[in-house]
Amino acid sequence: MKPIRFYLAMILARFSYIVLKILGKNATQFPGVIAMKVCPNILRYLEVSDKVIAITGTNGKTTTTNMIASFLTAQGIDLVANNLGSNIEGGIISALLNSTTFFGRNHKEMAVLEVDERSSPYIFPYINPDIIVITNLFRDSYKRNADVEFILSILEKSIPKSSLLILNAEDPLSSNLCKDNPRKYFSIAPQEFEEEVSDNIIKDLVYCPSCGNKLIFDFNRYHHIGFVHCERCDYASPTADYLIWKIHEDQIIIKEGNNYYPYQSEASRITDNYNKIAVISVLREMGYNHEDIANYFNKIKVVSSRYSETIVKNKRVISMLAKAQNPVANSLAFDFIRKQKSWGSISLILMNETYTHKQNFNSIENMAWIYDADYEYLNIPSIKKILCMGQHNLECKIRLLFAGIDEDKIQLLEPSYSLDITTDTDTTIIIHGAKNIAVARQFKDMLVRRIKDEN
Amino acid sequence: MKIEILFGEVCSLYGDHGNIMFLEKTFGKNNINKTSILETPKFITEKIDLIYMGAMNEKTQAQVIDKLLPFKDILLEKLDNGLKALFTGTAMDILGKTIVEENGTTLEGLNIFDFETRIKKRPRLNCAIYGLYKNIPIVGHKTQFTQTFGDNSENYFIKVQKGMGINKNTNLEGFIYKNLIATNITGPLLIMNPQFSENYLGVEIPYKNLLLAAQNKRIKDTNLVKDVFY
Ligand SMILES: [Zn+2]
Repeated sequence: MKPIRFYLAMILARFSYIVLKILGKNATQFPGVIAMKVCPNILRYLEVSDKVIAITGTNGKTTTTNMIASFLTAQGIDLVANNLGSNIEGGIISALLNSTTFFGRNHKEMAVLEVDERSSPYIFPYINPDIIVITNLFRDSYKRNADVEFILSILEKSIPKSSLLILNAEDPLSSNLCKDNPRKYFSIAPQEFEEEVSDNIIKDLVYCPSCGNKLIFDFNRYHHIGFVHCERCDYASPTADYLIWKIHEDQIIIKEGNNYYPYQSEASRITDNYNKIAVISVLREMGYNHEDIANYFNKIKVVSSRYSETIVKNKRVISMLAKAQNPVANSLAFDFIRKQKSWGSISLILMNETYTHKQNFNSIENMAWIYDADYEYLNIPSIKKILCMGQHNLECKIRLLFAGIDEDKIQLLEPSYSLDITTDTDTTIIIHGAKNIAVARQFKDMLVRRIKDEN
Repeated sequence: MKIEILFGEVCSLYGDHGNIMFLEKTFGKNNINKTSILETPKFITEKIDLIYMGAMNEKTQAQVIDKLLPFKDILLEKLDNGLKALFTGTAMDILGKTIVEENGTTLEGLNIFDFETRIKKRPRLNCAIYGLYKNIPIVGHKTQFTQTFGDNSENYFIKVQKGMGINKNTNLEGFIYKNLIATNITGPLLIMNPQFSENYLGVEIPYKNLLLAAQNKRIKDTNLVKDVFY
């Protein structure tokens, strides 16, 4: 028997959903929040699908979730997903409201849910996932996530004993979670011409998770990601069940057991490949064969809000998402830029704050994370100009100076909805956070138009 | 000036690296010693003028206390002889009597100050800080699970005007003993507070005018927001 509160919550949440839809607003979070206000333990009464796949971790959750959901939908599975990125309690409840009847009965075959790692204790016990993907764990927002030890302890306690874990073999933090759970590992083999990145300012794991001795990196891809072993005990990175064995220009080769499977793939960032192999691991564990998975992803181009590039009149304009408050995401973006050989001279627009384009006096943003991110990577001759936009643009400039960047290269931009700059370099890159996606896209279009109009 | 960074590989959680960068830039990398948690601190046997330690998690706090406890008397003697020591973020907590977890588990601290730190995981405390050290403005942030209880009325670091002191019921933040300053303020304290850095370190600092301008902007913003807690 469900309490009256539950039905009241259902009425209000569904009503708010309809109103939001009529107003043309996004209803991925608010209805769930309303429901939770009225009936705090509503998740207990919402029936979930027979099959639940959850995706958590610091970076790559949204893309991984979207790829899994899109493949399964194409197979004709009627599923619910929170693929618009509302991954805390309100968002999960909103998604489940869409997959249940008024009486809380589930009517979907499957649920594919992105779950914020911080919210997992309030979600996992109720949705009891069959499969949980943990993409990776890094330090993230200081405010929400504190540090990785805290997140690890939360996940350790909240992951149900029966969930099959799909883990990153190269992340010695998350790969050691819940040792009694069934598990499969994914990984990317070091490539012949791949350079190690071992000069990051931060490493969230330095010492052996078993004995505390210093970990030895056999191959350090970035931060604490890579292949490790311990010289004091027998700890070592686990062997991958699903491996990206080779990365070619237009193809990746997956190794599973002793078999090799080709997938089409555009030259892409390493993080895209981690997402891909995580997705393939999940779908393989669900029983799909490589041919079907490859066929689908060969046909479909995964739309990315993360990276967009336009070439006009031989000039390149790029917008790149790197979550604000997340030093690892930003360092990866900076590393990607420094490794490009064909981009010529570069102007960089840094939109580092949560909101860079409008004055925000609701709270004072802690910008300390920029000292955990590797701005030093931007200290290269091809970068001619760095423009810092936002309320704390001066703090961003100071960070760049400490990275050794020439003061003459740095310009300050006030928060604005327009971008008044010259496009005199071969490449212009806008780096922005998740709250600035729309405005960054607008800036990019503005720059493209300006270049088109130039004589 | 010879400087020792204590356990930077595990005690730099919330942008504390900024302080290390600042010290490297100000004094030159050659004058900075970085000691890992597996090593014995150099200040015990060598002539060191300043030690710095930043924020760490609870597990590391226990390790750091284990590491330093045998040298407590030496540390006190060095402090009495003028050693400068800057402890930011949760590094402050290890200098007290105890750190108490929610389930009552108690970790004995170095007991250099008479205070107790209590951990509460939800809600996490986050706030911007503005206050005065003597007459010098201090800005920064706190991001922590803890509040600290004890009498610092005679030896506080700053009087807070925005934000909180060592707990929500006081505006007195941090502890001072001779040249030892311990504060829960995290992040690049030395970069965000140029007058303090100059005063405490006794040297000319790099980019002073820019740092002052950035600090002034923060002070202005702090007065504009309704609530510095977030
Ligand atoms: Zn070991």
